[in-house]
Amino acid sequence: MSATPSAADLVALRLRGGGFDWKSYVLHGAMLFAMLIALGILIVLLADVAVRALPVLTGRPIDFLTSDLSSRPARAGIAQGLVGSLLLVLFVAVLALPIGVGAAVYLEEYARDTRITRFVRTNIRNLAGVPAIVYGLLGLAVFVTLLGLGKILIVGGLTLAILVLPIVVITTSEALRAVPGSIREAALGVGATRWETVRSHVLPYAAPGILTGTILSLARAFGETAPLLMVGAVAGTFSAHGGLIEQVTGPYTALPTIVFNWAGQPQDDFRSLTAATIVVLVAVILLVNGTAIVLRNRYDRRW
Amino acid sequence: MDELSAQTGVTVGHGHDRLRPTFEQALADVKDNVLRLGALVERGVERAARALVERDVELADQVRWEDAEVNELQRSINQEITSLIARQGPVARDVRELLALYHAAAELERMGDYATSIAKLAQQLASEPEQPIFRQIPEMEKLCRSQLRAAMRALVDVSEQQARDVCAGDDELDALYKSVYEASIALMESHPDRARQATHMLFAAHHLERLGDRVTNIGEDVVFLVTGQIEDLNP
Amino acid sequence: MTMTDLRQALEVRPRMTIEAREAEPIAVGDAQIVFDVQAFSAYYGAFRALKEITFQIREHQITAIIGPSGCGKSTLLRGFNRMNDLVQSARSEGQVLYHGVDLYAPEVDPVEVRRRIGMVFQKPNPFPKSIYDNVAFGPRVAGFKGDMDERVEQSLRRAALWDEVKDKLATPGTALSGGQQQRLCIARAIAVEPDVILMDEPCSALDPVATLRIEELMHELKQNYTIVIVTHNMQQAARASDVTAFLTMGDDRAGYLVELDTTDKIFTRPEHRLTEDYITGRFG
Repeated sequence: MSATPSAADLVALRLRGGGFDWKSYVLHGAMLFAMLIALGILIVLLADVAVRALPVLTGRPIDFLTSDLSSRPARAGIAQGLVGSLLLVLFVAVLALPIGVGAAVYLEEYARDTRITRFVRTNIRNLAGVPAIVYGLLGLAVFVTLLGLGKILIVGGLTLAILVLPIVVITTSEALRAVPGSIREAALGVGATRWETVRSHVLPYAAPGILTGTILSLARAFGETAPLLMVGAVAGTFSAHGGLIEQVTGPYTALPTIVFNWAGQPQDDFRSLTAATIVVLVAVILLVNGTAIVLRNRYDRRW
Repeated sequence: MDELSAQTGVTVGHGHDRLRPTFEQALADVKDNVLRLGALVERGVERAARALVERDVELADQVRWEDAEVNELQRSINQEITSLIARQGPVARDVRELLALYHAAAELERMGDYATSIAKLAQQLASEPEQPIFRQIPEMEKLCRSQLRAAMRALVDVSEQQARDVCAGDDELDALYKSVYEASIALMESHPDRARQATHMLFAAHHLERLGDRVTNIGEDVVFLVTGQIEDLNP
Repeated sequence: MTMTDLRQALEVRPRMTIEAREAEPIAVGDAQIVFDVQAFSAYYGAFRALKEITFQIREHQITAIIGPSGCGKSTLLRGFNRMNDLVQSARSEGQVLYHGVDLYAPEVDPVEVRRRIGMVFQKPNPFPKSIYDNVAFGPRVAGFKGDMDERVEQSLRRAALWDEVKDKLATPGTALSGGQQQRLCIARAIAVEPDVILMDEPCSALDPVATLRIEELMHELKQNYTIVIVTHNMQQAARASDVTAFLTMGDDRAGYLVELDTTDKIFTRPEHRLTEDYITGRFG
């Protein structure tokens, strides 16, 4: 055997084991630990809430979901909140989605790149970061006071719609930008107008992304509390029944505001009511997000 | 710088990076080989004619042996040119140059065969009773060789004018052949017993005249290289 | 018979067999002019990409535009169907006359232009839809009211793709191979029955076999259409085109036309030294 190792020997040595790579294992372990902490916090919170909610959820589930607000814990339910939240989200969907998608389509497909459009884009991004309570103040000043509409559901819907609008515009813009330029070129090259290109090719291609973005923004609207409180969602009790018109032009409440209200009540029994409402809230949001993911996957597979 | 480059201005590769040095080197090598082939043929012609005049049978043998070298060189030139055309995708001037060289090599090989034939005639004459060689024959031989050299130079310089001059010079060779023809007939009529020698000399002169024709073909190849047109310069 | 006579005799014979096989080739100078380009210059903002290009393109021929990278070949090609309009900073001077009409006149509708002058792009870009919908899209937006099935079939046949896809017209166009996708794009372009087909390096993303099939296809297509192709593959220009235009870049980085002639002439005996240097690979 030769005294000095050959090149082939050195390569074999390196390949078979230059030593145990403990650094990478340690790093791996640290990140795993971080994830477990985050997950753990979430699980602990949810478990705490779930345990607290148990009496109500196991004791009188149906009653809880169908009763009106009441100052007596044994009779209080979230029916009005469910209706209110549903109507609000519907409002936001009808208002914010068309306007938001339309604005995004204009900015991405039609507008020329000028100082003005760049200014608009930057500001939409800023608006998405404005704290929700500021939108509440806006709603209060403009809709409730200036326009004199009062503290009705329509106002709540308008306020939430404005809050969610920048998010819709941004996510739709991202989805549109992800459409390859070659598709547009191909369509225009065959003699399509800009609108025909957008309608037949760009929007269908971007639809999964737009859908996901809009569903997530609706979920956001569903969970907002501060703006609703600012524009006058009822935090106590009220009686509002009747047809749709009365519902939207009268007093209203939503699940988050109910949580806010009950969390501040001194009686102990309200603890479990609060927890139960939180459970319902979280369940709905998880359901909505899950639907968004499922829908997006289904569309993705088609292409 | 060859004349084609001089006519049109910028030389190949001047001022730019040389993008195809391998190909250009291969092309230059082929050209060198064709020139070498020309030199071999010229030597063969000179020796065959000398063998004829000096009745040197051994010199004639040498010429016949050396024809194998001529054939071998032409074969290798052919192979190289075929490979270049297949692999390098030459166009325009490059492909015209390769075709011109291919054809010129073929002509030179045939000229080598003529030299061999003249050497055979020299051996046959040497076995006959001595007969003075018509003076036109060495003249034809000298003229042939200078034509060949001029054609090779036209190929190197890529000069259309030089090529045309070579083709024009063939007329003198034709005239000399005619006079050998007359002299042969005269000899056969005056001395019928020397008919064989007369015929051999006539054949030798005929080979030299054909050799000259082939040189003009090389001239036409050079014109083709320059202009892309095939002209008949030796009607 | 001299060697020269023999050579010339040999030359005559091959030409006769070629004539028996193909249709009579149309001489460069005789066919009708489709595009008359007059001192056409193209700018991107302040940068001049093309300088005063002047030449004609005649019908039922394949015209190839060759030249080094960045000399403006694609810009010139896109000038023919107003695709340059898509770039915000693009503007032009001079004229591009299409059957006598200036394509850049203010009253000319670019959408109509693109229906008559179709385009096939470098990377095949079929729509993420079925093969049928890919081909049918153009006629639909053009308001075609006739038998769509027939139009789709005819277009796919003309693009030499029908036999391969006739049983799977509902499957996505993106599931085809590269060469098939490009033929689908050709079918899509001809479905609107254009007059001209522009091709921007159509084979550069394809393997050699697919490339040769498309070149054969171009040869058939030129009976019915006029084809202009930009290519950086010189062998392709030499094989496939009837007329070749050589563009190069000046010191100001603007592209200009050096030489335009029959492909035969350009590749056997070009007039300009620049052309010969480029096609023999002595400068890139």
